[in-house]
Amino acid sequence: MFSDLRHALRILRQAPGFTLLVVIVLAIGIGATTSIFSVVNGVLLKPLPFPDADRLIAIQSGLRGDHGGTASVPDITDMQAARTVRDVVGYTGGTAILTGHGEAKTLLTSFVTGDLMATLGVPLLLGRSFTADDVRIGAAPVAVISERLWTDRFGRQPSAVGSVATIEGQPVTIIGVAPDSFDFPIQAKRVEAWLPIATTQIGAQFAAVRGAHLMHTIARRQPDASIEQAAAELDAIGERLARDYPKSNAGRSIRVVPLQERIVGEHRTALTVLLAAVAGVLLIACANVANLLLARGIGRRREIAIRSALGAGRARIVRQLLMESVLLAVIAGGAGILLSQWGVAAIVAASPLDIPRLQGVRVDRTVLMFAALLSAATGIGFGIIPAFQVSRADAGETLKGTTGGIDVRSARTRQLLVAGEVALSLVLLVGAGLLGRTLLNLERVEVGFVAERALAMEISLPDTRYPSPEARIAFQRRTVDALGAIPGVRSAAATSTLPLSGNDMGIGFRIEGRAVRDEDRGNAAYHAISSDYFATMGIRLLRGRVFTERDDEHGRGVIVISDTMARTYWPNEDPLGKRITVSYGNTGSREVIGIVADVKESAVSEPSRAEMYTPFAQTPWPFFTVVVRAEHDPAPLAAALRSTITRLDPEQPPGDVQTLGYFVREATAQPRFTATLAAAFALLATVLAGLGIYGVLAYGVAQRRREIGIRMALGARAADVRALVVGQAVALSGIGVAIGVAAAIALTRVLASLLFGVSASDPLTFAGVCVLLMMVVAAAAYLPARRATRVDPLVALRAD
Amino acid sequence: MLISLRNVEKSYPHGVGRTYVLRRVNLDIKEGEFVSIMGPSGAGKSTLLHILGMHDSAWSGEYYFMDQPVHRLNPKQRSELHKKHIGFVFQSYHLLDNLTVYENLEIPLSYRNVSRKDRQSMVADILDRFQIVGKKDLYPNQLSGGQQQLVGVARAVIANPQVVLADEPTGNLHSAQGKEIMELFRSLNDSGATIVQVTHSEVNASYGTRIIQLRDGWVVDEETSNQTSAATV
Repeated sequence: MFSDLRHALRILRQAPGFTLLVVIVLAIGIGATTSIFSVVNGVLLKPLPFPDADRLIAIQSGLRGDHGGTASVPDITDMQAARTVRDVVGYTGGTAILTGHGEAKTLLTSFVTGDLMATLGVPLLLGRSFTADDVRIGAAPVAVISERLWTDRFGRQPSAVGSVATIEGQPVTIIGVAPDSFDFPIQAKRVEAWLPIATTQIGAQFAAVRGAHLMHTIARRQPDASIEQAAAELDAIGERLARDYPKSNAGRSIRVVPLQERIVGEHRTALTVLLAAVAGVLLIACANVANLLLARGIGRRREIAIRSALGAGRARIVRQLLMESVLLAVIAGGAGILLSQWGVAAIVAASPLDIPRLQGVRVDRTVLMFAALLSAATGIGFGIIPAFQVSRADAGETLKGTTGGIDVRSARTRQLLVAGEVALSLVLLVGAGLLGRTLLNLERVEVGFVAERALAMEISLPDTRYPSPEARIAFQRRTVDALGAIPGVRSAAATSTLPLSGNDMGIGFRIEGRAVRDEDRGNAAYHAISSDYFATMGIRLLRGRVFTERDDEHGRGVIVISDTMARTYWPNEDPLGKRITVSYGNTGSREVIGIVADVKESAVSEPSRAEMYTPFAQTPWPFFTVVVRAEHDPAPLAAALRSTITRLDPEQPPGDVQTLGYFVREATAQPRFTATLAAAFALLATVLAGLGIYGVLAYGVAQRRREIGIRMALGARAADVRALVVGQAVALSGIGVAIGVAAAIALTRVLASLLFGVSASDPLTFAGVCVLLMMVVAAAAYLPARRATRVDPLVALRAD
Repeated sequence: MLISLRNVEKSYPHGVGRTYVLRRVNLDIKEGEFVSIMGPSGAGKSTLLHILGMHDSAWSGEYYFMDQPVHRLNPKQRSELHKKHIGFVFQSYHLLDNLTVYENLEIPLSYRNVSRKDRQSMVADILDRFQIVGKKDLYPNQLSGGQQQLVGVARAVIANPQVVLADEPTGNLHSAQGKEIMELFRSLNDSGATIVQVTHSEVNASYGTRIIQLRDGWVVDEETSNQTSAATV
């Protein structure tokens, strides 16, 4: 074995050009596959970083068929009675303003209903986490802060624990510090503080309302309970709640999934498709290298025949040849691992923010082992066919020197490999084409508002400095007026939640005047807006009217609904003038005064859902997003927005300013990411397949020089010779295209959940890809065909 | 009898018929003989030699080697038999270009599962015997034709085969080198090895004890060569 290795090293050193070419081709394939596997491993496969993570579950509560997943605080309290689970805790995201420790800072905050750290099994770095007393309504406010915040704002002083910080304008005792390794909820930006929801002013209101389904819920299965048992028990609890509280819980049920599935499940298909695509690229690279080895093997027939004559059995020769292949693959694997470091960094940098756990993706031990196994498998994969083919050389004829001309078997194998490459390229191109068309379709979706030349900024008002509705209304009015007065701003408005910002809020409602039926209860995306909102956002009014300044805190309760809400709940009548009772923040029933066009709330690909709008002055939330429409380029206005807020309230930290276009682009970030990577892999695969075709044709021309010379001597013209070569190319690719189309029809079905506006067997995409591939084949055949026409018949025949 | 051929034939399909390379070859070679196979180009000499060397398995008839029916053995059994008892010298030397002289000599031993220690000792012996110790680290392209053929002969005999088959061993050498090789064969034969050579040269044939003439695939004549007069020439 050692002598085989030594010999293999020598063989590779003696052919540096060949070795370099093979190593580069394979390194790209192995590096790309390892990079994507790093992402798949880090996001999907690696267990959550909590003890006994497989027992952690997500409890998803929602209307039947829509387990978007949030429950109310009272519902969570009832779930705690379940015997198959323990440590049931709810959490929801938000922000809170920290003042008094340096500049005012808006903290990314998680509001919890219990001891989240105990549920996840993570000990704190310092101090303690929440007790039952800490999380009840009326308890003294406490907080657990992140290690990063403790470092940045508290100088890592142990005395920070037990100290009082001003959060949301109220004194909050810091009771613990969570280590940097603790990252929950797992999201793009890390949480900086955890607070009991019941101890915040607005949260305490939510905590008492059965219909405020705002909390994500997790728990830990008991060691002797299966997930099915937990699901059955919690589902029974859900049904009891639906019976006992029909007003808030009718039609709702509970589903249980492993927590890891809840966090990463929606990304599984896309990442698996990318892994399959890059594996396809590697397969094509292997086929190309196999072709190179087969061609080179013809030149080694003499050596193999001598070894056979000297006593080497076929197994021994195959072993030696495979040693060379595996050695090539191992060298390429090493280079591929280096490439994957860069590849992982590039993918993480380019990926959508909403892929959880992505920031923690590394080339770790698992990935290195994968790369090592992949390299060995690749070496065997591309080496096995050439090894068996080349070792089959007829020793007797070779040693007598009576072999020559074309090795038919080897040529056929090479042609089959190339046809396979073409087929695989077609599958990848079709996949990329479908994903590309999906992206185009998504980008063409009418989002319902005008994204150009507009900026948005989130503002969160602390309860203590803005405790009353009047104070919030006043600040919101001053803010909108001041922003509207900035030079360059055409109009300004405010909304409790911005569409496509990821902060959509669903609130229940009931239609008055109808018998209480399930279908008359609904859940709609909810916005509390200023009067200029529709104009500033460019949302079309369809019928009725929008809010005016008279629709303020003294006016009668009014509401504007979306077109989908109108058609869904009043299919055969005019909703204008009808009355709705909104489940939360209700000041009586509200009259429908206007119908506006639909707006995409959470995902561009989802059908429009029901939306309702109330005047901010009648439902003043402690948080809102301001929107300004600029006359020209909005970018220079960002600083003015921030300074305006600081001027209005120096203790109010301004939020991040983003363009509306940013939110629209982010809404298609995931499909763009998937489509871009798929296209990159498909392109790479096609280039490799093209090179494969070129190699086979070029070698074929070299082998057929004598034949071409004879044909030309007998009168064949250049066009006839070109047709000979191109005919071979068309035959190769024709077989590959036929196989590829059949395979693509079968395989692209797995993409169905990722597609939008295009079917998995879209004929236009298939036809376009076939045309593209034939063009690649034509390009690959051009040089060999030209070379064939330049064969000098006399020279070719004299060389015989 | 060391080697016996009965009705051995080899042919290729050619249109509707067949082209015969060897026809009804009957041949006996005793242990210790030095046999030369002669004949014009295309007579089938090399084909016959490669059949004797068990490199070629596409033939019909009966071939007994040390009383073993080669025609009834499977490829693995034939490989074991020829590995154990036969050494082959090629006209074109057929050394492995990417191995040194030492490694070229070692390789038949590694294919016979000889231990590393024994291989080292056997290679050292043969290098010494053939007086090519100083060349052990050179590659074939650094040697002259005669030196390469010397290594080829050394490689053929390193595993102490009973039979040495040589296909035009001096075909690519000039006369002085050729003589050196033939003297070597003689001394091998004197040591007990059976030698079968294919040659065009009467001078080379005179080193042997018997000449078999082939024409168009047929054995047409067998004669005893005059060894003394050939040595004088």
